Amino acid sequence: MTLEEQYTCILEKQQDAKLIPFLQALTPQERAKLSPHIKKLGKDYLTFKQQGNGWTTRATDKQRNILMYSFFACYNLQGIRKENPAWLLSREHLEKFLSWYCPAWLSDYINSFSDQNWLPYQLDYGYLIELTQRGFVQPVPQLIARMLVPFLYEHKGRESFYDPERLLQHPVTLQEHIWHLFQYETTIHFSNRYLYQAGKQVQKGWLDFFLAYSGNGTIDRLRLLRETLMAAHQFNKNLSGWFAELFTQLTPTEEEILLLQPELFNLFASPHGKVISIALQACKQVAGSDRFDATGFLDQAALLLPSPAKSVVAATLHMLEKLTKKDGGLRSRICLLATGALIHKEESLQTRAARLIRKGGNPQDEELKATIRLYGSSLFSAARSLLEAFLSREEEVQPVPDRQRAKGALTAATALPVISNMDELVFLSAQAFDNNQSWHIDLLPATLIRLQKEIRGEHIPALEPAMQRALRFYFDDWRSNQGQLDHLLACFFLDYCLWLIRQYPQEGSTARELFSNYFSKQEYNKKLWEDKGTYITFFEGWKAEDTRYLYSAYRNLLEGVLTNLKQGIDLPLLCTPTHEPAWIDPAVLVERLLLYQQQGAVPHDTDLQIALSRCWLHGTEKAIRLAHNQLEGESKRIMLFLLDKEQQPTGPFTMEAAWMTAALSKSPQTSFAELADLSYGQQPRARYTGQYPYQILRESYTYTKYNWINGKNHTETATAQRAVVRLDLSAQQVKKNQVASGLKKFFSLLAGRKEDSMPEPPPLLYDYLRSKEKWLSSENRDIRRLLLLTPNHPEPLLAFAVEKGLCDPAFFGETAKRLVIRVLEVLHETGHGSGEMGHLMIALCLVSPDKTIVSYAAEIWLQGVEEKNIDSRLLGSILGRLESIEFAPFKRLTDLLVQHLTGISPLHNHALEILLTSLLQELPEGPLRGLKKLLEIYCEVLRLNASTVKDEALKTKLQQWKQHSTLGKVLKEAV
Amino acid sequence: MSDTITYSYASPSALQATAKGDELFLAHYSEVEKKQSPCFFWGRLTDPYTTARCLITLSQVVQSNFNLSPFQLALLKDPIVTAGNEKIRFEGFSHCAGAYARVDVLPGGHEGEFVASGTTNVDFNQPMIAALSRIRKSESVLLAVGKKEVSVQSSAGKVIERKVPLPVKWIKGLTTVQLFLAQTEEVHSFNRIQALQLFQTLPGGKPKTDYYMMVRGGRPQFSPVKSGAAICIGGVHRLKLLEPLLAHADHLKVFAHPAMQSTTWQLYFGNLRFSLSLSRDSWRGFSGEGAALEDLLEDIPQSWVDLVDKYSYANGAFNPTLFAVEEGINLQQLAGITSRLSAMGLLGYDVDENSFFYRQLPYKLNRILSLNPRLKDAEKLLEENKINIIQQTESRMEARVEGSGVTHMVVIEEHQGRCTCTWYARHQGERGLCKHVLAVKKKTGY
Repeated sequence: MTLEEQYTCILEKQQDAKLIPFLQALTPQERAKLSPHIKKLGKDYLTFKQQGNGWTTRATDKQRNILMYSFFACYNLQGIRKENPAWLLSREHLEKFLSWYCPAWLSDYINSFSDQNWLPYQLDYGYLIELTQRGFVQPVPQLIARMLVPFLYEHKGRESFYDPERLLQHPVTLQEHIWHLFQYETTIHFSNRYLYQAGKQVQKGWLDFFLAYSGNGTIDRLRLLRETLMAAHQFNKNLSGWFAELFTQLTPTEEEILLLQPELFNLFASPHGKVISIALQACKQVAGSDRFDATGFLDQAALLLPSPAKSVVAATLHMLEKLTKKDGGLRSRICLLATGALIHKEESLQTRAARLIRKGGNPQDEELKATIRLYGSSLFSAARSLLEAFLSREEEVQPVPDRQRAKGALTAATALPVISNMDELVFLSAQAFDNNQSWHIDLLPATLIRLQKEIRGEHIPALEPAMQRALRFYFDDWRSNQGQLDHLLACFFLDYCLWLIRQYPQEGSTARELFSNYFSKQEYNKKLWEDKGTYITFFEGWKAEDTRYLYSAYRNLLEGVLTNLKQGIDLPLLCTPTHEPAWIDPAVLVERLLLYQQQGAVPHDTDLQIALSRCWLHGTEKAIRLAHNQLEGESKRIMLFLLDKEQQPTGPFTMEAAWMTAALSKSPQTSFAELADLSYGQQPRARYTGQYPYQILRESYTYTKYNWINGKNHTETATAQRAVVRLDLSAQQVKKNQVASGLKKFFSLLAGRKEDSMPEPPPLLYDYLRSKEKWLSSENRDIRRLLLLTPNHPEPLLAFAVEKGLCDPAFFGETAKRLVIRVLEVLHETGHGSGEMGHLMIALCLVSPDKTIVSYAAEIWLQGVEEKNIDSRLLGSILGRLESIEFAPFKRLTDLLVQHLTGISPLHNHALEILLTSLLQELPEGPLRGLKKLLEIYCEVLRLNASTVKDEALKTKLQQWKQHSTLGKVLKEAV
Repeated sequence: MSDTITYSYASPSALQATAKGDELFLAHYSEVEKKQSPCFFWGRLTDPYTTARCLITLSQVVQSNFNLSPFQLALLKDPIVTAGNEKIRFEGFSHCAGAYARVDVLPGGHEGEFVASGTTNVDFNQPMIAALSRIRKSESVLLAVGKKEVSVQSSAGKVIERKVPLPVKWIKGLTTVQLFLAQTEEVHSFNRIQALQLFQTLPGGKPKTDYYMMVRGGRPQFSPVKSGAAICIGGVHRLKLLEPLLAHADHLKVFAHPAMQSTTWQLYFGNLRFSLSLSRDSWRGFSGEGAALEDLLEDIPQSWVDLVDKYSYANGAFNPTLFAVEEGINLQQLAGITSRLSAMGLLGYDVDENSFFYRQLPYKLNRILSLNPRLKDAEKLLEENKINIIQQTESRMEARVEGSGVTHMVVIEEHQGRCTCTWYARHQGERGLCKHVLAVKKKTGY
């Protein structure tokens, strides 16, 4: 019988008693020779296989033991790591071997657990030390540290007991091993978290052990303190914090702290606030001593003053004050250091640092003056007045904003390309559906119209890559930045290409093949292709979630373009933008209209409306002249009305939609009496102006409350309050008298007419700028292009953004956040949105939880103040109403004011005063939490503007607040 | 070629306490070492406290990960160090290869002996990094890149081996980042206070939108709002890696790529420099940018590589003209040699000195050249003869290249290639050339 057969027999018959004698009798060579056979059997017996509803192995418990023992006796390190029989590392199993065999790899295998995220529980620290003493293992310090942590507790069944006596069993533990805990990452900070005694968590732990055994002299106390400080510097927040806590609990004496000064100072470079605070507290304790190393402290103090933790900065300043009093020789250095605290936009810290500098600093010290000057523009007036002697007059001049954006004329830099040859068209079409540029959706149809007479059959192969991309896109290869409009454009392009293929069947044969390939991938599509071939249409059946509204303008436009292409009409599109982001040069628009006039053609309704909405309305003299001289009839009257600020509408009004759009582009808030009789007059005006009524309120709502009582889940309905903004969008509905009711309604439904039908005739562009969908989907990828349909008057879509993204204090998700950011980007570029809805949106963004949104909104306010197109009073009033119902925490607003809006320029400071005055007027008489900081900022702005409170009602309110204990000091100067 | 690399260290790196003070021993390994150099540098650091903090920050960069790829700490790559020409440079990449950090210990930053010059991997283990934070200001620290005493090394006995997957991203990133650095220009210089003011405006969390760095009212700040002369930074939260060093720095310089494809933030501490270069966005590593592809199109004779290796010394500025004159190589032939050598991992770039410096990556050259799938695909297109040249004039080249299912149009005008493929449509050439343009260029040398 061979060895393999003998072994197989032992395994199969589960003769575990025979295994050890069998293995013992083998030579090392025989064990190595046997290992492939064991490996094969191991795979067979230990591999999990599905059996019924569960997974199990072939091996019985006895067979598993036999295999594991065999692995231990016959495998090398590589093999054993693969099997990883960690449970063998218990006394019970190991002792069966160690008297006659100890594998060479045992030490390496045990040490390999030192950096794994688990430890074999069968091997405890006590047995590890025993194995070490017997020479079987040479443990690495990291493993010792990790194994020592749980050894403080004794475990009996489910119960655990704090038993420090266990650590006294081996002298090496306290002499050497205990110090490894300070050098390697362990779980010492939560060693008792999951340990229970009599149903309660074990309270005592390592902290108690160190306190007790350093107290009775068993552990060298000074070394313990030193190691604790060094450990507090090198681990993660929780572990470092635990060591810092240990240091505090050890209550070091003054003498000990003085001996540990270098280690304490080293902690100032720690990234953890708690550690720094504890080091500072210890320093404070000995700052008065002659042996305190003030120079060493000052070397490191520069790291503390820029700390974002106010308490750390305040404690450091306190130390600096103490040291100034103690050693006059250090004053100039301390003053220079103290300037570091001026970086904080926190009045109390600045004032404290300024006092210290004023007291100890030399106004003739050029270095000190130069350093203070660097903070000049960010100083609060209190700190500024304290440091007056150090600031020369020119530093007091407020910084001038260096904004780049000039709302100037359309320039060559912002001009969009005009595609004039086939090569350019090929490259444009290849990327048109990628949403690389918002104007690609306008440029592609415009170019197809322009070049339609040049496009021949021979050009079809060059367009195939674009067709392939469009087909891929159509058959669900969506990318993260592609929206519904890209899908619509792809469908439009595919329909045009199919039409081309039909015109040039020979040259279009490979393109037809391409279509066929994509359709043949699915049985349904294959049949469709077989039935319809190149007469299949992508565009006509195009559907999106919000097809009826948001995307209809583009759909109508592209439908018109497709018709023109098929009919060979090469009149240019009126609405193609000429400049970034979507403006049309008014002179170019007049020239385009002239071409229509010359050919006696009527512009496509949607095309004309978009063009009028995109027309640049500044510096229009040239265009007015051109329109005056060249245009005729209603087109002339519309253009003159649009371009000339003084011009009023003059009838007759046959192109009603164009007149209405021109009026909304020119002055959205003005109701022109001449246009009152247009059919749109029957609709609520808010539908077109976007100025929907809204409420800022706290409302009650119910929710389901879950309670876990006695092992059972109880649900109940509870009521709570929430702050919301509610928009009344009823104006978006068509007026009742236009909708049939009763039997008429039934018949009209039978006839295929929908209840919420568009007004007749024709639908206005703004009728589409709304949504019936409850939830957002991919609107954030399209909103930029939708807003740029009407850049002169974005307010209706702003109402959409407010309703979907900003009505609640928190965002529903990333989609809503992205939508709002895209909207803000457009507002920042176009500088429009000056109605109340625009102001509501900016106000909501200013108190948004998202920092990007806040920064954008702040930038729009700064820009609006410069360009005088934002009403700070209205904005302040909305903010006041929002804050009165605690829509957002005051701190968010005050942080914004300090970081983004104050000290920009005198112009902005005055606008800020108006904003804050208006905000405070809206606040309730009882002071709200966080009001103090807001009042500090208000007083600071008043000081900067050398202004006083003028509004009597506000004065009274401030007087009332002044009586309040916490606010009196702040308002001392203001009222 | 194996897809794993085995770092084989004679012993682990460690900060050891000796009677004369601490000794920072860095174990090294290179798979292309020609001879076993036991030690590259041995000497004192003049500012060990700041050097230690810079090395900790470098280790934090190496441990960081800013994209969504699975992060395996155990498989971290070790930084590389180049010693020579009186400088010691430590280089490393974040796990995602989107953040590149370098610590330069300049002449005056050390007092010691460069026993040998060269580039090697150094073991950066966690206990050693943790121990670095213990170094105090007044302390004396000895730095040893490799054991000076051969006997010590041999007596150490046990070799530390760590097998990690081949650091493809690192190697590609190291070859690509130099080309971005070579194009960057200094745009701002701030003193410590301004730098601290700037970083105070760093947004919290991980903003998904681009941020712009601008100076307003004399104060630098970050803002999500685009403005004229601002520097664009995608994944701005990556800059937080620099925060622990700011309070130590004398000043900060900001360098930007002309097309804002990368930014470099360099901190100066006397004779020490720490630079952090960021890719265009947090989800875009330098490794995937393809900037080196064009430079790898032309084969460099092995004899030149050998010559560069022979005449250049680690950290020495590379002067192509001098190289050509000394070796009698036609200057025209040398056009673009710096970028080609850099793409092969033979040169690094120092933005402060505005020059390339020699350092051969401690990886086999054929590894480096085998890592560019787009280049391989282009070669496949050439092999399969899928390129049809339509027009070739001095100013314009037009070709048709067979793609999957369609034929792509490639036009190269004024060295700018355009293609109708998806890659080009999506990135518009910002992330290197597509395989079709590469194939046409390789075929025609256009």
